[in-house]
Amino acid sequence: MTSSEIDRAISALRDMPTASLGEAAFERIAEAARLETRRAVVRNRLVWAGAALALAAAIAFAILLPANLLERRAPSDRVVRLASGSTALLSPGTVATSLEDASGERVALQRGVAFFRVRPVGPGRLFVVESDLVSATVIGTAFWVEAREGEARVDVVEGRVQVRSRAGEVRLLVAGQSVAIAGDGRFAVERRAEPTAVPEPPRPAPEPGPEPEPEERATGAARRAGPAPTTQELIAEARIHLRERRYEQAEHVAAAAGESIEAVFVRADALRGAGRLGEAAALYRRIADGSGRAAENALYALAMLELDRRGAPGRAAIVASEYLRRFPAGALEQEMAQTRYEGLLRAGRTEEARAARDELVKRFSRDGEHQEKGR
Amino acid sequence: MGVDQRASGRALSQAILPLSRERDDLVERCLRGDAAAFRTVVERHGRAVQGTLVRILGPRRDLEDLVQQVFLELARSLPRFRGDASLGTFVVAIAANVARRTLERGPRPSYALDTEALSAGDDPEARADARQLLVRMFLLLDRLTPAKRVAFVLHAVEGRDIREVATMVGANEPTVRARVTAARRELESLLGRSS
Repeated sequence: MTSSEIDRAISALRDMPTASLGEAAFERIAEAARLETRRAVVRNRLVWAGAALALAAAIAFAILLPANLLERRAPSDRVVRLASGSTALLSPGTVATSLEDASGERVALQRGVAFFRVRPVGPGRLFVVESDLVSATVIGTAFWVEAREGEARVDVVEGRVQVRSRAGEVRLLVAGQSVAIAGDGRFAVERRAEPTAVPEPPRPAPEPGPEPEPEERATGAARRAGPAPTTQELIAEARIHLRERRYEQAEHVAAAAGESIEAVFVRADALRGAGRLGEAAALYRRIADGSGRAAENALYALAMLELDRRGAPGRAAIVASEYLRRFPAGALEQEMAQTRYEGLLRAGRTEEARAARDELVKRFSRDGEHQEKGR
Repeated sequence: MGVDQRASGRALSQAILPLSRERDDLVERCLRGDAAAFRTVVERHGRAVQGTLVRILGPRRDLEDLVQQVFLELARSLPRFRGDASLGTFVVAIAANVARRTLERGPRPSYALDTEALSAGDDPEARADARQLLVRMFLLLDRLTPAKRVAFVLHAVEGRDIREVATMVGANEPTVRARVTAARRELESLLGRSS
């Protein structure tokens, strides 16, 4: 084909009729989109419900932000999903804003400590975290940024990050490296981080007695002198490992914490973080087969795991259907109805997806109208 | 972000500022869950979205689902929509992204399914010719990478300038220009071989 044939084909492509959807389709599309904006509110509600149950699972729930102000006032960590699909774990007291534009996503960290896990942002796009003293441009995937009065710090956990101080100095940090920035905007310290060892306290000569259980030997808490750590202490330690992305340690410590729902949930989160998705799914399933709010949260975690991590939207839809059947008036009803719809849509099960959407619109639109009127 | 990019971003913002202000109210109403506002957005931009999807992907039976995906993604992004680009550009950029992901997922449907929908006009012979040409063109577009195909359609077919396409697909201008040029060269070569 010649250039003129290409040009003719381009003209035909430009002029071809493309509008095949009618008003009724637009109506359905608009209503489903309207419901989607309410999803963020529902997800927020989920996190607070989880916190009330002290199920630390809240950390595992990436939520959509209702606005681009990232702020953590409550005394616990929170994971937020950013516009680019990356996630940020905000420590209490952290204040930041995020802005996505064509060049990528920028997070301005005003104060506090945040951990970022960055999804590939695509060619020509950047993910940048800036504070008063420093900016960090992601080349890899996971890092901490800490901004305090007169000092800042960047710790790289995975991949590479280019750090630029306010004074204009640039360092490329790889996994395991840190840099501190002093109040004058210059790099203060640069070091290759070694694994943080828990110093062994001086111990009296060992008393003769039985060998400790393997699980006890395995945990930092158990190594300390004094009484054996309680289940709650072990779970707290596991959460710290989880927060700092030491998934193997988190899993180990959580396993030593026993088989309570809380311990199993943390262990499942750790396995998910470590990429052992099948094992994580099995543990979520074990909790989900129980009852109450824990089962609801586990079904939610399982559905999200299938949808976002395992790339199995059909299975996510099945889990969401199970939730809707078992907890018809559950706190996550709308969220799971939308997850079911999204799963079916992404699985290419068009007819079922449309039916799910129609049902969603029918049930929750009315709810939305009531809320609007009630304001 | 380089100085040039910042400058071009500012220029774009200034150019569309009046439009953004006009739309602020619509976006705000959408964020409050106003059903009429969503209908207005879909009515105003739904045809452009369909157009971009069909020109990139070809006629498809699941078009409504793809359009739905675009507006679901728009709904999720609205809280962060700052009016730096017009809402129309923003929505079409999402459509291009949905189309690219759809291509990456493959497999494509048969273009022969909906040939009647492929061309307009009263002259049956001209319609038949146009259909044949379009089917052939879509089969050739299938041989391009998704990124090249999207850039080519947005620029060469829809007539958007390189800078706008770069903004839409999140790439820089030289990259987009290279994709468009390479796509055209590959299409000419493929057509030469197939004729």
